[in-house]
Amino acid sequence: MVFDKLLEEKKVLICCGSGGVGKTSLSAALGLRAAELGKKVLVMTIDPAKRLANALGLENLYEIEKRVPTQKGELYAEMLDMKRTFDDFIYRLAPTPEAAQKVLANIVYQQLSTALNGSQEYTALERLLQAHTSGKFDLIILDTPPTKHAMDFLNAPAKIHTLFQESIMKWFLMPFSTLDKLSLGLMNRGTKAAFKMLERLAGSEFISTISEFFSAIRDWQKTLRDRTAEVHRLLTNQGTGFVLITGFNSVKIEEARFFENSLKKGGYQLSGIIVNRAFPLWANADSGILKTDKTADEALNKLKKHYQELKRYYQIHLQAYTAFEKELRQNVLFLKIPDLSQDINSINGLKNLMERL
Amino acid sequence: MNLAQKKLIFVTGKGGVGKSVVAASIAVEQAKLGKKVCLVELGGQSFYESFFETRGITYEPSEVIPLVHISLLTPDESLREFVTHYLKIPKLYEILFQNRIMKAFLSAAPALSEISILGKLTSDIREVIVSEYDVIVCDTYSTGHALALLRAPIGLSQTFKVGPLKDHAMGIHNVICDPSKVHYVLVTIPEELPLKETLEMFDTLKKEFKADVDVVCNLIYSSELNSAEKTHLKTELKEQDAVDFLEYVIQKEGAQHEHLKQLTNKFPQIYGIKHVFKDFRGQELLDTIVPQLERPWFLTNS
Repeated sequence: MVFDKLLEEKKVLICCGSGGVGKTSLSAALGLRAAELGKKVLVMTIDPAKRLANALGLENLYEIEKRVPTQKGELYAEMLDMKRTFDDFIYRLAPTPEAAQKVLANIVYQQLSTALNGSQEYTALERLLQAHTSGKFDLIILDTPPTKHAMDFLNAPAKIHTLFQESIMKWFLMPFSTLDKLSLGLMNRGTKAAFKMLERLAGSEFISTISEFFSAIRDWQKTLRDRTAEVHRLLTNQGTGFVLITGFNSVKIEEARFFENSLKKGGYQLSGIIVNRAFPLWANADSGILKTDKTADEALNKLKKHYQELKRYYQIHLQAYTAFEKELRQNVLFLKIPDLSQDINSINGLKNLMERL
Repeated sequence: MNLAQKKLIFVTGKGGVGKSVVAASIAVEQAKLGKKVCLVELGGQSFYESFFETRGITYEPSEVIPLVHISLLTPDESLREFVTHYLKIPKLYEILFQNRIMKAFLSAAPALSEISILGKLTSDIREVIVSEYDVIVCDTYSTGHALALLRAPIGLSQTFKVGPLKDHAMGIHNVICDPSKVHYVLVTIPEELPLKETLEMFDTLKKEFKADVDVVCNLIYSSELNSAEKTHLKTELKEQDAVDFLEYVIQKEGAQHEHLKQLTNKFPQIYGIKHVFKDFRGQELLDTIVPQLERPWFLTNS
């Protein structure tokens, strides 16, 4: 099967794509196939809609590394709980459990860990690194959170990193609550003015809560930075491959092109592209249905008309994809999965999907 | 769609179900009733520019179709407008946002850009400004992100104990919970996972925002063959690929029927949009959709 090579070679596969293209089902199908090849594989998804649970026929997937029965190999699945991963992370960073609890109780932290731009993505990568470092798995497949554009996933953590930059921390670590002459004197004029404005907008209590939060985590900065660097190393490592999962229409092709380019620029490795629900199997053949010649049969005429309409529709998209495929480097796997009209969210459906890999 | 006195319509749904196209269709349908409509898209990149094959869709609304003005509400510009409004003096905004540290903090800070976006969308209802539009149709993010957006005001009002931001956030929250002014449209397609997400989202919207919700089912597949015709063809067709094609059609419609049944059981009144197998975009596609929004859809139609 086309994707076996990747499943054999890579340690980490990251499945990206915009919402609604079937990332979760395909991540699960890839995992199932890897297990069939005898691998010990973990499939991780971070999605509040419990989609992987659904696809794997599991009801409760909040436990981590949950075993999914397979005939060969070992398949584990988990749904990332953002809040818990973040909390665990804090517990590991903090010198004492008390210090961790202090941070967890901070309302700024509570907002940060759930509502912050990019916190889902950050958590996914943190958990990926953790599972990878444990050395328990031959392969980890990460189903990325749904984003409007495939690249958002890689861009989001950068926002969090800036927040933990030394300069910002230092700024918020000043004794804001008192706003005394000394601390204002230490700031440059621009920062001073900006700070006064923030206080006017948000109220001084907010500022002191932020200040408290940063002072609680001030000593972990290095660990955080190291962690970030490690994640980056893992993502750009030879053993890590990105798989773009995309749908079958012209807008999605543009997105796929853009994604391929951006990955290249960022130093990441695009290993494969899967075009999901590409075209029904019959659309490829020159079907005998058109040759059936009974012009008086009303139903048959309707079916013929429908067939021609669908076929034309799929052919237009197919041409666009063929052109795109030719632009790709040779070592990028390219796979089109036909529109399987039956339900794929059962273990049999997944196996069927897997057969197409 | 009966939106009577509604001033603000949030359109959301699972990724990939065609939210933006449905939002544009609702905008056009409302414009046909003689209303002046502002169609708002969120995020950094305009979808409608390529959809309508036009240029220059920016923060300032521009009339792309008669009576429909489109605006791209970027977080940055909303935030700028919001802060400027609060600080009164535009120059101060520059000081605040040109500060490297503040910029990094504000761009990462939770809820601020969400608050500015919602603040802008609700400014007419909150009587901050007098809008020239009769109704705003907002092509919101997909369900998960949309919820984060809608929950931002209440979240923020818990973070700030006092101060103008708290009052502002509460004001916005009260508006988006007011079914006399605000309407929600959930877009789905007749497939298992989008459907599940729709049901969950419906309950959440009801519970947290007392929302008035309409459901639109997009991409309903139809071969136009009735069951008698299908049975007839089953016995009639001999060539293998013709049989296979018929089987494909029957399976697809069968699976879909189950989902539609589930959907109509939960929602007695929905709007349905047929899947058009043409490479339409822009006005041409909307022309096929808008009439379908004028009356509810029933399962017997399919």
